[in-house]
Amino acid sequence: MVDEATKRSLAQIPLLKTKAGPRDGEIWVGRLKEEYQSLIKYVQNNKEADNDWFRLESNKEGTRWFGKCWYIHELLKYEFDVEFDIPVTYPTTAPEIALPELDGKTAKMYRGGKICMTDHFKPLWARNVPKFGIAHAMALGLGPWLAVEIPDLIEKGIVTHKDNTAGAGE
Amino acid sequence: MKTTMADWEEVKKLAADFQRVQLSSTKQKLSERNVIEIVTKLIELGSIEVIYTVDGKEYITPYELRKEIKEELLVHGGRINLVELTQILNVDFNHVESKANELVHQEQNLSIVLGQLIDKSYMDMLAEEVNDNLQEKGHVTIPELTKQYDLPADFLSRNLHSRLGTIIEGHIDSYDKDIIYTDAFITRMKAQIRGALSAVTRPVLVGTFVQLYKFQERIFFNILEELVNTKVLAGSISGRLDKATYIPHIYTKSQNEWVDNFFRQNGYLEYDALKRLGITDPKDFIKKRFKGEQLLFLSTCCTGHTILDQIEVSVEEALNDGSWVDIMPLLPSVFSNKDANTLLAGCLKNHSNAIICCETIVASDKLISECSKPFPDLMAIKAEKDAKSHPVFKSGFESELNSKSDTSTAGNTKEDKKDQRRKKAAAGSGSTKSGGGTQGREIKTKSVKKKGYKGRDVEVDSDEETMVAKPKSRSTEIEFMNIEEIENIIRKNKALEDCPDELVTEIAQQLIRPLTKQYQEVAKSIFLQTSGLSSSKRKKTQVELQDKLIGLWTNARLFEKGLKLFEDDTETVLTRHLLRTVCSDITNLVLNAIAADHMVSVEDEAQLTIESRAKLIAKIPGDSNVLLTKLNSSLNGKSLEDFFNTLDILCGPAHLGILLKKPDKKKERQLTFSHRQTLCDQITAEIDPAMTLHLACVILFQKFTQCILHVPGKCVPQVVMFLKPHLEPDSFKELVHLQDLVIAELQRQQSGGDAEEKDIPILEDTINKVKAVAMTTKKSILNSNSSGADAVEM
Repeated sequence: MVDEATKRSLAQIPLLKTKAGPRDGEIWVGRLKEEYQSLIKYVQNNKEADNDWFRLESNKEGTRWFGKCWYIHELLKYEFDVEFDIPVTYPTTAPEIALPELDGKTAKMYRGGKICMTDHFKPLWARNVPKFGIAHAMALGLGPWLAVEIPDLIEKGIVTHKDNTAGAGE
Repeated sequence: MKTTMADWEEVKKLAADFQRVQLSSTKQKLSERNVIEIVTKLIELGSIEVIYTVDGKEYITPYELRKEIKEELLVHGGRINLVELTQILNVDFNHVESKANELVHQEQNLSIVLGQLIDKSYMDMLAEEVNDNLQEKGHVTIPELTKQYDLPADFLSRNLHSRLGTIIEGHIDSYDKDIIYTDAFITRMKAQIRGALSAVTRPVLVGTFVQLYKFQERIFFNILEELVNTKVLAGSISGRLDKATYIPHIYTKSQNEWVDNFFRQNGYLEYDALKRLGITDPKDFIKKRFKGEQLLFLSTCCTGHTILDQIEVSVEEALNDGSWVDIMPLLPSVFSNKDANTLLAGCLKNHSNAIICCETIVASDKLISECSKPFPDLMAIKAEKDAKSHPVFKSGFESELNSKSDTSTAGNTKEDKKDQRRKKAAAGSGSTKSGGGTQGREIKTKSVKKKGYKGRDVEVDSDEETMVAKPKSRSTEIEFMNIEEIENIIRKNKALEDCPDELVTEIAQQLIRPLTKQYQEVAKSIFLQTSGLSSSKRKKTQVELQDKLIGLWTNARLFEKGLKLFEDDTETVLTRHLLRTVCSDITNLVLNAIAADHMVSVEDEAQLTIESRAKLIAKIPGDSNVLLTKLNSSLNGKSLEDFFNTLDILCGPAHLGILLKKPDKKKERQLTFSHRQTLCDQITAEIDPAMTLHLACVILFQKFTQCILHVPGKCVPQVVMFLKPHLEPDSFKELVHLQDLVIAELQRQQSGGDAEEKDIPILEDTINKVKAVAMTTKKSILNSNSSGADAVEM
């Protein structure tokens, strides 16, 4: 099950209404609008709670999203690139968020750096079509994944802080 | 298309917005977690000092806490409970407490009492309040304040005392620090007490007084003491604190007056009356009050000499008149019998000739003797009557008489067959008769009689105990009259006409013992008189004893002389017989005398056997015991010498002091003659063949040998044989004939046959012949041998 904090933040994200994929033309625009509004709210919420943890932007059509996400562990900030495409069957199919940097570094990942969602994610998403959007996918999918995997990876020494590796370069 | 474009524009705008939102700086806000972490870190490092609030939401610095505590104290008027503070400040109690303690240490005007922080200003205010209260009520007590302000007494008193004279205008009771009062209050109270106690005319319990007027107890007692001491109040206090009693002088005075008057008027004082007056210890009081007076303290009252004199006079009067007086009517009614008795006992110390009856009645000895006057006459009459009819007398006295009076004649008033026998036996012992035989039989008949007597008792009482007890008690004590009888007689006395019954009873009781004793004496003497002995003679026992003893002893000596004429066998038999009879009598006599000397009672002198004598001797102390034992045992022997020797010692001056004078020839002859004379008289009157033969033998023996003989019946044949050479053959034949007849008669009696008619004349004839032989031979012998005897008789 999802943890309390996640649940709370999830609840504060506005739900979407339009069920449309990128191929649906006119309606997709509506959907995209809703996506943006929901994302804005989510980010605002995160900032309010001093819990800002990602930056996202999309292409013009809103079908491909990319940006950064970060995790603070032991007073150090670990930053990773994040990217994903909106599937054609969206929103029935959830987007597959990928962290290409970490590809091959952990078992909880598919090829191409796509993260493995928790067992709960898919049924939860399926139940909530079309109410869940990108913001929800981020809060419900990537957020928990980072919280679990990053400390583990750091401990294993698989992920190191950039300052330590290429600190002088920055 | 237009709309689509617009939509896209909108999307663009939104995307821009989104970027803008993402790029806007994050609010610089520390999360709660972080802050907590930071503060914890800081505390750990010791760079800050904070106190957590109870809910954990706030930190507070100690200084702030201190400030807040002080502020709260101020707000609450200088007094606040630490617990309350805890709630108000939302800080843990420990912090508040320790901070408060710190505050108290640092600041002089603060203190903690019962978990409350109290400011000096609060105490000042409290003191002012107390002062108001005090001025209003006149006094306050610390306990009251304690309750009112819910503060401990010592704290309160300490604070209040320090403010006395400044804030509080009043005084502390010097005895009780808990009371604070004003001068006005004291004055008021003093006035109250003075007023109340001045009005008192009788003792009051101070405690009730205090309750009644709601006085402050402690102050009350102080004031009271002061007032009494300064003589503002005329009275005194007795007892302590609650039990104290205030006794006004006026009351004491009137009490004393009453007591004085009463005593002066009545001459006595009753304790109860004094107690009613409120005097707790009357005796003490009286002793103190009448120191000079001679008073007699009795159980319920005490009397002065007036009453004593009065009683003394009346008692004296009664004694002089030879009458009686009951002092109860003379005494006030409060006097109890016991008191009267005590009084009387005091009065009679000087009068020996009076007795106290029924506690309160005095009777003079004269009266008693007066009362006893009619008794001697009655006694004599009764004794005489009793002596004749009363069986006890006989068993009681007669045996004694018998042994004592060997000279007593048969002609006395008792017609009893038994008695006559007894007499005869006694005479026989002194007169060579068939004493032995008859005596043996006598004992038997007597015992039979006794049995019969007892049987009668059983029939009457059918009670075993009385059957046993009665004869015994009767033999020791003979009742004269019972109390009622005596009372009846006393009541006839004029002096006692209107006296109470109790007095009569008492006199009767007084009299009954001496009367019974007297009666016994009288009865005894009368009995003795009737038995031929004067009572005066009895009193000269010593002389009498001596006479009797000498008589018996002389006889014994003479008999001894006679029995020596026989051969050995017969002599032994005769000796033994003599020991059993005459010598036993002597022993009894001696034993009785000695027993009497030692106050040992002899039950029945004649009945004494060797065993009973031995028992009796055991009771006698001293060397008499040894001698008597010896004497007694000598009776069982065969030698007369032993007996006589022991008897000599016993009769010596060391013991009985009787001189056993051996009779001179002349006297001896005289005795022998008189003895024979008696025998001759007896034989003439005798009709019994055996007895005739016996007597004849004895007479004849005396005639031939000039010796008197004491012989048992069974030895008669030997005597007859002894006489053979001295007698004419005819005479001897007559004797033998009679002897044969007697033997035949005895045998027939033994076999149970009746006397044959024809034998009687023969027997009578032979008896007469034997009598004649005895008498005639006497003559001839007398004639031939009488020269000496005649000479003696001249």
